[in-house]
This record gives sequence, C-alpha cells and structure tokens, in this order.
Amino acid sequence: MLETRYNPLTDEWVMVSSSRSARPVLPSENACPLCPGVLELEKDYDLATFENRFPALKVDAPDVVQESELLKKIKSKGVCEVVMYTSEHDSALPRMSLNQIEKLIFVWRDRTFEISRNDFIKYIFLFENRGKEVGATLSHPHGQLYAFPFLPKRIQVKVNSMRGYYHKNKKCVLCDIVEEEIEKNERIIYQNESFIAIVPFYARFPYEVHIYPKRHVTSVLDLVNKEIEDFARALKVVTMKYDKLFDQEFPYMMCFFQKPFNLNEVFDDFFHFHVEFYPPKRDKDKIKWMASVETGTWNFINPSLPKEVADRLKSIEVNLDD
Amino acid sequence: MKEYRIVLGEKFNLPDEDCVLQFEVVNFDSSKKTYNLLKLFELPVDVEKIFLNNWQSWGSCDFFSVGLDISKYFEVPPAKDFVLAFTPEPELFREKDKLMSDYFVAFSNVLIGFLKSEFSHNFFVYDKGKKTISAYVDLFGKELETGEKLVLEPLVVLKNKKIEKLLETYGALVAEKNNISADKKVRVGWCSWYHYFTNITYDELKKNIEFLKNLKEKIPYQFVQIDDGYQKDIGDWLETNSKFPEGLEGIVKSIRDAGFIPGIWLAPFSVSETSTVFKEHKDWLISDENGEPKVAYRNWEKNIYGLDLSNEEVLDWLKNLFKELKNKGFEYFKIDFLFAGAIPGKRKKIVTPIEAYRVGLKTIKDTIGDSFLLGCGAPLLPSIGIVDGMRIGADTSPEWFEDIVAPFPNSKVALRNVITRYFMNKRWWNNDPDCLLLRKEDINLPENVRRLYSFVSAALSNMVIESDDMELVDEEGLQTFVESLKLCDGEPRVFNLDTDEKVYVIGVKGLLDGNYILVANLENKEYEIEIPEDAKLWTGLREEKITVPPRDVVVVRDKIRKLKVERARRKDDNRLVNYYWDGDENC
Repeated sequence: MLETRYNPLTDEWVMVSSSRSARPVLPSENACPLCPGVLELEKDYDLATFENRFPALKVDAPDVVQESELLKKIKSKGVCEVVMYTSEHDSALPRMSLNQIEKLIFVWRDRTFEISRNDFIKYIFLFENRGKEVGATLSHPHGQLYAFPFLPKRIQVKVNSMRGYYHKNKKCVLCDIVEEEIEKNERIIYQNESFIAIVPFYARFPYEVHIYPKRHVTSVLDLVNKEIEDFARALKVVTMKYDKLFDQEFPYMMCFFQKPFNLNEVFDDFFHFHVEFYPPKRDKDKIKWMASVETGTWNFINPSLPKEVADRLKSIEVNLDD
Repeated sequence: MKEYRIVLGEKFNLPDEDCVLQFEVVNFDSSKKTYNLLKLFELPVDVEKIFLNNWQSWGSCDFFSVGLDISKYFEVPPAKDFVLAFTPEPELFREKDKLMSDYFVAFSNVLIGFLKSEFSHNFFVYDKGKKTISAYVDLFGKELETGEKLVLEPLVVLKNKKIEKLLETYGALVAEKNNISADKKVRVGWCSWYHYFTNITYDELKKNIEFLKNLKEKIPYQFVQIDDGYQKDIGDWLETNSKFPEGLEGIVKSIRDAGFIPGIWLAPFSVSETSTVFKEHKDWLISDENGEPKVAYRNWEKNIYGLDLSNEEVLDWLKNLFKELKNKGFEYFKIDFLFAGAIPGKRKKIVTPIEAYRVGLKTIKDTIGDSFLLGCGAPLLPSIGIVDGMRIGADTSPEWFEDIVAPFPNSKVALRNVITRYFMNKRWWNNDPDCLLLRKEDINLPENVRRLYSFVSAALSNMVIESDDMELVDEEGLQTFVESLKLCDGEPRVFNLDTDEKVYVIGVKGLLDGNYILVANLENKEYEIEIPEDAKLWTGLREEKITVPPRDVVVVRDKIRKLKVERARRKDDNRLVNYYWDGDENC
C-alpha cells in the first residue's frame, strides 16, 4: 500500500508505505547493492542517483479511495531518490576529497533543479542517515532525497517562524543569527568565507551542529562557485571532527532545509538555506534516544551545554588533505 | 495577514500594517437599487512618481511622473480608435488632471491592489489637483434588492517594501487567491506575424516550417503558429482566404508533419463590419444605448464590434468554433483583441462586462481542454486562472521609437513592459513578451537591439517565440536565440524599477549554469551602472559596476562547474537513474 493519510489531531500527513518493510538488510561486503553493476546501478559511475526501489512517494503513485470525510487520504505523489556519493564502497563524507564533495553538491543542485520543475512538488528534502543507530541499512556512502507534494509539518513550523520574524523585524532571522554568532564567536566550530558551522544555542541533540551560509541563500541552487567550494569544506570539516570525536564512524542524520517550491508565496526574502546534523550519540557508547518527551511533545531535553560541546568540537584539529 | 470587513459608507481608516480589505455594499433603500461606480476610499498621496498599470495586455505598466498627461496620446488616431482597448472607463481615462491605474497602484514603498476581478472593474485614480489616490469599483449597473448585500472583490495593502518585493508579494497573493498553479516550463515557438503581417501565404508558411525543421537539433522549437492573414474575415475564422487554398487542414498537416504543435491566431470576441457573422447576427453584438451595434475599435480599416458573451447563442457559436479548430488539429491558440468582449455596453443578460468576458473566455478554455491558450489584448485580472499564457506588453515592432508612453507597435515600449510586469510570470500564467526578431533584413533594429530584446525576454523566463522569415536569419541570429535559451529557467528579480533612465538591473539565480546579473539599457547612450546591494545579495556576484553600451545588454555570470549527466531508465522496472561524470562544459 502506498498512500498519505491526514492526522486531524496534529494537522500533519503520514506516508504509509507498507512495501518498505521488505527493504534490503545489510548485505555482505562483497555484495553491496549500491556498488556498480551489483543491483541498483547497472553501470559504473562516479556519482549517481536512482529512484528508490521501495519509495514512500512516487510520481505515478496509485489513486486512493477515501475512507471518510474525517479520515482523509491523498496520493503519495512525489519523488524518493537515493544519492550515491561515490562508487567507492568504503568511503564516506569525511573521507571523500573536496573535489568529490563539490561534485556531490552539483548532484544535489541538479536533482533539486530537475525535480522542482514539477508543479506538484512543494518541498525537496535532501538528507543522509549515517550509521545503524539511525537506521541506515547500507554502509556504501549515500544520501537520499524526498520530494513532497506538501510542506511537512516541521518545515511548516520553520517557514512560519522565519516569516513571522521577517515581518516583525524586516530582516531574515538566520542572517541575524549568523551575525550574532560571528560577533560572539562562542559556538562556532568552523568558519570560512561563505559558511559557519556552529553548535546552535538551541541545539536539541548533544552533538548537534548546524551549517549556515553567510549570504542569504534559499537553496543549494542559489550557491555560487566560491560558496560551493566553501560548502564542501564545511561539510568535510564537520564530519571529520565528528569521526575524530570518539575515534569511530560517528552516526548522524544530516538534513538540508531549502525553501519550498511551487507555492504561491515569495519565500526568498525570509527563508535561509541551512543544514542540520542530528547525531544520536550523547557519548562514545551512549545513545540519546528520541524517547517519550521528545517524541510525544516534540520537546527536547539536551543534557549538554552547546558552548561546551562547541569548545570540544572546535578543538579537534582536522586536516582537509586527509 | 489580517483581514478587515468594511461596509461601504462606514467610517474607515487605512490600517498601518499589511492587510486585506473586504468591502461590502448593502442596499438599505426600500426598493431595488442599481450600482455603478463606487469609491471605496481616498488617500492623500504627495509623491513625484507613481507606479501605474493599465488593465490590458498592451497597456503601460511603469513608474510615471504624476504630471503625465496621458490624454494627449489618445486624442489622435490610431489611439483614438482604440480607447476602449485601454479602459472600460473612457471618460475618466481622458481627464487631464487624473491618472488611472487598473488593479493595483504603488508609491513610496506601498502597494494597494485588488486580488480578483471576476465581476467588477477595479481601479485607482490619482487626482493631480487634490494629490490623492482613490480606489474604485465599477459594478456597471449591478442591481441589489432591498437589504441585499454584495461582498466586493478583496484588495490588499502592502507596506514598507521595495517595489520589486511589493510586486512579487502582490503577484503571489493574487495567484493564491485565484488558486493558480502556472506551469514552469518555458515554451519555444515560431509565429508568422512580425515579418509577414497579413501577407503570410501558404507557400511562405511551408518554407519556414522546412527551415525550422532543419534547425530542430539546434533550437527546440515546439510550436508553429499561423497569425492573422489566413482567414476570410474577422469573425469568419473557419474559412481561409485565397492565399491558403489547402484550408486550415493544410496548415495543420504541414506543421504537424514537421513535428511541431499546430498553433493558430484568432480574435474570437471580434467581428468586422464585413464579416458573415456581422451580416447575419447583429443581435449577437454588444450594443450602445440606442440598441445599435457599438464599435469596439477600428482595425484592418474596418469597424470592429464585440460579441455579447452573455448570449447563449454566441457561446454555442464559440464552442463550435473552437471544437472545430481543435478537431482540425490545432493545439495552441493565440486569442487576440480580447478586450472587445469586455467593453461596456448593452448585453442580452444583466451581467457586468467582466462577468460576460469571463464566461466567454471559460467557454473557450473548457472547449479546448489541455491545449495551450494564449491571451492577448486582454483585461489582465479577469483572465487569471483561464489562460495559460498572456501577452503582457504592446506589440513589438521591427522599429524602435524613443517615446515610452505610447502603447503602439514599438519594441522599446514592448520591452519595457516585459521588465515591469516580470512578477506576473509563472505566478499568473506564462508571460508572452511578444516575439523575438532576429533577422538582419527587412528590419530597422540593429543587432544590439535584437540581442537586448531576446536576452531580456529569456532572462525573465518568458515564452520564447521567434517571428522572422527564417531564410533571412543568419548564423549570428540563430546564435542569439541559442544564447538566449541558456538564460531561461532561473529565478529573476528586477532591482531598479524606479529608475529614471530605462537601464534595468536584473538578477537571476537558481540555475545549474550559475547565477548572473543582466543589465538592460533601453536608453540611447552608454551607462555605467552601480549594481544595487540587493542584486549582489540575490546572485552572490560581487560586481560593483557594469558598463553597458546604448540599447544593449551585458550579462555577468558566475560560471559553475558542471558534470556530465546521463539520464536513463532501468530496463526491468523503468526507474529513473542519473549517472554523473566529470566533464565540465563550463570550464
């Protein structure tokens, strides 16, 4: 079954994709379905994307039969793609060359551009789940994208907050945060000419890190050449610091927040593109669980002080040539 | 955004914040009452310049000095014969001490605009003597019973933003209110008008189709549209004249056989005094107070009348006409001189001209279904949600005249509107900037002007339609077209609409090929333009100044490194796969 159901209690949509329960489990190392010529990609590749074998959203989603006036459904019309970072099975974002990461940014831009041409797409969400702790079933370096026919709930909240701040202050909230963080320089773990990486004042996870562009850009499509180079550096530095933190492959959820597409509103002046990393770990061998309070109320309890975490991450030296 | 409901006549102060105003009229009299022109409010406005918009495709949209005397342009032919094209309120329009702006008006970082025009004509009047702006609604004799209430069409007040942000926000709100989802694809085609005008022949059409076919690999032409000149008369659209002996079927076949979408021009709400429709159905026409057919405009050296779109027989005739054209194979319809269906006058039913117009337009769209409908010479807001594309400026021309006010065939006036009405594109419909002329002969436009028109139209992601005898277009002309297409598909913003000189800075972002700044110089002297900070922020480019030659265009682009992409479908389950490789075309 593939359909999207409305929850009138929370005003949010839930995607039902029952075929996903049959998705592949971790294969043996020599039979990775993402390696060239094994299963998903028939040819050799440098980078690649493909439509998910078990999508939660698809362009030709089946029609739905309404259950009742109250219990509404819509077609799960959208796009779910897997983004292959490299054909090298044992690589990972922190171990990829800057050149390869820049190429990856091109792929994100290409998919965002192409998919946003479809009027029914309202939101394009790029992300990566790294590590078993966040449900990644395949270790070959890859991310994903979901292109939704609606604005997911948390995106709605972000848009509403950013719009509200802009209307009140005539300025973009993230532009102001970037300015204040640079001025205070307490939580910045890395910065270059175009980006800052910080443990935000409002971090929900102990090792949460956000990457913000210094210029007001709204999606990966807005970036200029220099910013693409600097974005690649920021992504590599943050993920390298993560891996060095406990000398292990550090699990995380990496989420890209771009402006919505194909909606009758001008988002450009208040929506500021940004990346958020949510690592599930609170220590080398301890998990910060999404437990009752976090899941039930959407309220997080962060057991760490963002400034202290920032100091720790900042102090980790990384060599970009590694 | 806060909404205020106001009963007309009650005391009311314009709120300080952005808001939607919803006025209501209530008939408190003891008998039925007729409503015509209603003034909603009047504001003191002491400014030097004001952003005005005309109701129709060809009309001006720009900042004008409040001292402008628009009347002088409409006292002499050919404008004199076209006044109803530019306003359904001709008396007010001609007043020397007034300036009209239809649908919206902007001044001093404020925009006030109506969000719909489904039954009334909605406009603003600047009074030069009183220095005020008044908002008006014309109900054209709508009747209300005792106690009956009519909710007028909503308007929005936007404040404290630069003009480009005001216009874009207004454009988005109109789209939202009218539930519009304009598709984002840029359309590319060819049209017969601007070389052949009414002298197009079947042989010349076939010659051009052959040229276009041979260019297919280079330029992705999608449609070929025959313009005015094939038909027997204005109103007699299904019969061709002697220049087209193979009839409409021959036109369709020639276009389709070459792999293009067949397109046709017609003026479906217009009827000439020599047409069969006029002779046989005078009762189908909008009439004056004496019941005589009312001349809507003069063209083709004939009186032209508007069809009464409240008459069921007319609607049936329209349905049959478009059904027939669709059955013959046309899939792209350019419908022109549409204002003729919306002029004030007597109609069979008691409806406003705007209501009648919308019924006529909807009848056409419902009949042609998924085929592309391009409006022209059309009242703007009443066409929203019905047309797929819309001409947003005056006719272009193989000539360039300096006068920026006169709304007659002039490539400068046409191009100015392409820039000032950019915010409508992809929000309300696909903007048609009118045709690109790229030939070197039979034209009074030098290469720089041809490039200027072409690049600006493409940068603003308009429809891209060429209108040349393709035999006269050389390699340079084709290259201009190819270069133009590379500028399409981004997110444009015009940063200095309030400029006194017509030298515009357009920033475009969101393209795989990289962001760029385009400076369009519509003036006849060289300018060194300081790039506005907002344009630098929008594009990420750091250019401080750009020098642009007279009547020319300069593009400064951030070249992005690109990869080669191979898009494929899996053989087993047809899933899309994209393979990316090094192979930087841009470096």
